[in-house]
Amino acid sequence: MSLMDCTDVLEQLTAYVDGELDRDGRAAVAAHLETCAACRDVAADLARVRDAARGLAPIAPPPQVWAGIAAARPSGRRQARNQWMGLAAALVLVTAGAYLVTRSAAPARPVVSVDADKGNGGAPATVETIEDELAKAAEHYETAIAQLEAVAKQDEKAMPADTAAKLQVSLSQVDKYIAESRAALATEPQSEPARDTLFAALRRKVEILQQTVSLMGAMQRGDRETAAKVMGGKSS
Amino acid sequence: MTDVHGHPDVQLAARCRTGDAAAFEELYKAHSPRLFGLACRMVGRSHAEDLLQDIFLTAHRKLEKYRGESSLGTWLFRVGTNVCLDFIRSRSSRNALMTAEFDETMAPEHVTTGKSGPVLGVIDRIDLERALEDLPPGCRAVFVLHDVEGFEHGEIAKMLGVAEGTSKSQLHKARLRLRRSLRAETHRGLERV
Repeated sequence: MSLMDCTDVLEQLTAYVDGELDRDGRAAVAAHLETCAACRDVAADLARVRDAARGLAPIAPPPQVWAGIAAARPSGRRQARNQWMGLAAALVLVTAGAYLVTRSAAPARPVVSVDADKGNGGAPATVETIEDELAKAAEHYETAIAQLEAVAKQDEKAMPADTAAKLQVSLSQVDKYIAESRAALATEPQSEPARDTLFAALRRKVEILQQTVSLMGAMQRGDRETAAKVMGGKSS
Repeated sequence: MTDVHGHPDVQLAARCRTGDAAAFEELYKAHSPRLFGLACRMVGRSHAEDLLQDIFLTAHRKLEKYRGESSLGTWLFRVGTNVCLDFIRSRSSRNALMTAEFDETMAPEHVTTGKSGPVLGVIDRIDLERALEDLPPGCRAVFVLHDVEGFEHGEIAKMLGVAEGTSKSQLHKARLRLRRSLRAETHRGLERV
């Protein structure tokens, strides 16, 4: 058995066990497997992994998931469009709460709850088109992002350099998605995938900035436990 | 579907669109286990609950577009897949999400060292779910869509915006990585005996 032969065969094994090789390819792999027990074992294992995956069953969600959906579910078409508006408007309140946390001497939890079923929240009473509504929602997100960035910038020296670098990488990645989605919407304003990606990215940016502000607040208070939880990806 | 307007799926969607809470709950009960399984396996349990909410709220928003060309379950599943993929994209760089190179570190030890080892026996479902959580996002998404959910490589390639060859190589990488994790688990189990 030559190392080269096994290496060549290895790359084909998934296609082989799935029946995707042509006749010649299948014959070549089969000929090698007849003489190589180790590659035969790998092929058998790959088939077992595939078969085990096919047997994975649906998973019942916990009851609180439906409760959250029922509470947030819009009751009609126009309210469905305003879901993003409500979330975005509430974020402005979240950022104000986060700012107060970093300035307070007493330990406090950042306000992170969002009432998605408030519908228009603090949004303007009249919006003519879907595009106007979504532009307003994006504006709210950007307001929240700008406020969080301002808070984060004031105390950026409080954060360890490596943590700040990691956060900056995350922010750069999500900014890239925001820019790409905006570019896609500029050429195709009706594109729902681009719109969904934009709001997912904006939401993610807010999450990252909220974590940054939480971390800074914890470090200022000397709350290492909370700081460790935030850096570990759990919210305080 | 021959009689689209009378089809139960179309009627259920219509009831949901009018704000019928019972209809939407019926939709949720029928399809949430499969979608929650998808979310758990695509993005991990810690994010799956939030994502399941996003999936159904997105579906509710998009229900006006459902015309009965496919079953409601299939349509919902596509919504769910897109929500999961958008989540993965927002958290990963493009380069980290999908690589086409074959990872040499995945070569089984008999190729790199000349030695072999015990094969996998019956694979425990919990071990597989746990091993799945450790896969990188790109090959994990392909594995879930292909091996768990049964999509073809052509469909997966369209969903992910990659070449079909990339989908195939990512699947191969996923299975090799899972094999390695599950073998390590088998060894740990043997040591405990």
